[in-house]
Amino acid sequence: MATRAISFKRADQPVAAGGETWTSEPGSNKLRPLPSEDVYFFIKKIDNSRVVREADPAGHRRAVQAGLKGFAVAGLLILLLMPRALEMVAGYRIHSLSADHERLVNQKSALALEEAQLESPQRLQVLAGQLRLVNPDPKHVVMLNSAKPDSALAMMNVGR
Amino acid sequence: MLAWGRRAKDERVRERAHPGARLFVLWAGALLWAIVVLCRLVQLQVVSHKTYKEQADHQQNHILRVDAPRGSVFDRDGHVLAMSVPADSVALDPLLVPDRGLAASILARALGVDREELLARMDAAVEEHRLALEQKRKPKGTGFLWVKRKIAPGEAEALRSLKLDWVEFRKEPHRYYPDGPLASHVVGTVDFQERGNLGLEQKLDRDLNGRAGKVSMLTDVVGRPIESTVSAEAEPGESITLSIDESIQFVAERELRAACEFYHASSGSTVVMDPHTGEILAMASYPVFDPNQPPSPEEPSTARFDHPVSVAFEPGSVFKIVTVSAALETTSLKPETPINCGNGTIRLGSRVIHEAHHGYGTLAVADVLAKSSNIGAIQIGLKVGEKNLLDYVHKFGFGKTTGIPLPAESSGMIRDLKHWGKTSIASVSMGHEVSATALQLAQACSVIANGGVLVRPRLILKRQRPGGKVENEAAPAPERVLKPETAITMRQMMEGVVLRGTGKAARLAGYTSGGKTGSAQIFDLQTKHYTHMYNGSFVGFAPVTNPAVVIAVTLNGVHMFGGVVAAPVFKNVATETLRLLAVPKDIPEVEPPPLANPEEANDVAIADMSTPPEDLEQLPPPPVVRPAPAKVPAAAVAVVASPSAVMVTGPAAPSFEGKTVRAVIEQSLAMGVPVEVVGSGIARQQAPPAGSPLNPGEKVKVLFR
Repeated sequence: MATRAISFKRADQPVAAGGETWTSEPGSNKLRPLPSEDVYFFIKKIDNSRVVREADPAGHRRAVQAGLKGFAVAGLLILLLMPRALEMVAGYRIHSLSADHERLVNQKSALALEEAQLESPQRLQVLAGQLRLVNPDPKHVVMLNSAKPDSALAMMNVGR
Repeated sequence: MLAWGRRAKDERVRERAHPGARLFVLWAGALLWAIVVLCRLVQLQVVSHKTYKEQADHQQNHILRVDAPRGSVFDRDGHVLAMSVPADSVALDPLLVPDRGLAASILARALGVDREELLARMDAAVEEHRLALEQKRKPKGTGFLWVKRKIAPGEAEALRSLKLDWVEFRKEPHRYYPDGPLASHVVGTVDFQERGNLGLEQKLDRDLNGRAGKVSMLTDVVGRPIESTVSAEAEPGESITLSIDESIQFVAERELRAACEFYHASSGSTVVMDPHTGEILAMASYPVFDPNQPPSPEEPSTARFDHPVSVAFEPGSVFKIVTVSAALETTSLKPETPINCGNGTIRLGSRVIHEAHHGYGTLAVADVLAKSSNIGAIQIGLKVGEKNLLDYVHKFGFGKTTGIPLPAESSGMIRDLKHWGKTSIASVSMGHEVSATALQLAQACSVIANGGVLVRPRLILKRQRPGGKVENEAAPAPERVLKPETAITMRQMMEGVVLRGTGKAARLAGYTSGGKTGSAQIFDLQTKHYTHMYNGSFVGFAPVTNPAVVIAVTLNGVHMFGGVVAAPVFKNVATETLRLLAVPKDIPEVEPPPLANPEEANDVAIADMSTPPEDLEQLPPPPVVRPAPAKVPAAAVAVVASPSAVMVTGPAAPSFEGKTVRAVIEQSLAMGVPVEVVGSGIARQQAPPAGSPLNPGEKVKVLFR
């Protein structure tokens, strides 16, 4: 029986069982023989370039169905969970708007208060004094377009 | 190698014979994993459901109280008298403060609180927590500490800018009264919990406060709200519109305060009322207080009394309008009927009653009222009789509340007939042995002013909830008290008081006016005697022919007569009020002369009729004084210039009277004076009047008819 060392000697020319030197023949499938062995290996090159996958409509269908089922399940899950997520997002938004609304209402109240303080009679009295405005004398006041009926208008002495 | 190759080959053969083995293993493993997961899910969501649900609820669900905003109070023109605005309150948890000393210093500087006091509170809270842990008990308190509540917006902004994460801001409603002391007795005040404790705030607290609601809120891990469910709807408070006119109220308070300070009155009241509708246009009380400030020791003890409503007093001679009205209705007396005034003396049973001032012989009924003769009033009262007089006292609204929605309203006092003494008829005729509030006096005067109908005073015009409809307050039905002709006669007689009687200081320029003065002696409870201090009053109306306003003025605890202290207040308030209400004038605007002799206004009703008036005559003659012009409040720091001090540059207004429109325009162009033409025809009136100095650019308004 051949030893491994002898089996894998590469430098040597292949020697046939009869002691003859072996040379490969072009186009032959025969591999060089193992030394001192009567075993011959043949190689066959298979050209798969012309191999075409066999059409498997059933399998294709199954694959597509599996994909669709997967999508359906995923879609269903999304449909089930999306409203909840949207609800949460909407909830945040609503409460954010509510807080804004409250802030604006408070701001409006504060502005109304400030307006009332600016219009207070005491302040207007001070401003009137600074602008040297005084209450008019009765003789400087003439009601031309009074809303009240002038039933009390007994006489007007315009010739004085 | 062959064996190995042979073994691999066997496996491949076996695999080809059993292709699902590995798949089976894979599926088995997945199934096992799924079972484990499922078991865990069942354990979490079924077995431990309750526990985790409770934890989740505790963390995520919060029941929040939604404060209902307190309603605002407006005057009749929509000016704000009271409103609530959210204010920031500062709190912290001392356990979370990194450096309590530093924190106290920062907060003391930013908020103006006492540093040592704050630090002591924080240290106490931390110490309590430490002791609680040691003793394994629940600590007292929740670790929440108020630093300062309802701080000013500037303080909040300054503190927020420091971005201190251990400081917590909370919103609390804060009640503001933007006009300060204006109408403070009417509007009232609230306490720190925003509960009314004075005035309308107290009386209408439930309506103004509304009702708080509850909201169930779901929050996320950082506390942001996700969804909320209203479990109880908040009901906002009603906003209330009063009949008070802010401008008239200001004038009334200003004039009352000036008079009270000048005459050193202990208190005072002014009520301005529409006699036809009962609407109260102004109700002033002195002394005053600022509702934005808490009560202080410096504040007078009676500052928060609503004098026009709550403080009843003996009205004195103003009550003679009731006596004379009753006489005109129930007897044959007429304004010109002579009344024997006994030269200043009358005997009632065993008592001799003297006139307060010089005696009169015979006076017409109208002059009894004008001169305020006590003997004359007693004679008239005797003719009316006790029963009729009491009947008309009740008809005029005395002895019972007016129904105004203010707390602590006094009904005054009038005794039943069975408690009347022998001289009670005389006392009541002069306005003693009865007590009334200034509001009741105004109500009574309104009966005469509006043609004889008792109209209840009204303070509230309408109410409205936010988003709700306006509810107009129904006015109570009026009651007929006097015949219209009696009312007209009384108006004319009361005009006589102003023209030739004790109320000359109440004459107006441009308007007729009528009224009655009163100077009721004040009873000293300690000495049980009447003093020489008076409740000086004046109640009146203007104009006489079609009264637009009724004004009642009272100064308590003065040394002068009502015609001297109260009538000028009436005059000043009425002048401004009639101008603000745009009431047309009915007489020329001639400024009436001032009261030359205060003795002309002597209308003292003798209270203690057993005492002869000698002690009154021994009083030194009162100085001839006039009230100082109304002063601007000290905080205002302003000086109101007199008309003569007005800076005027420019020509005087020319006279356009009697000219056509074309002529007026031509003249104005020639003189360079701008005019405003109103109407067509002949020029009848102009403002400013001819000869008045014109300010630069001032137009002359000319009325053509």
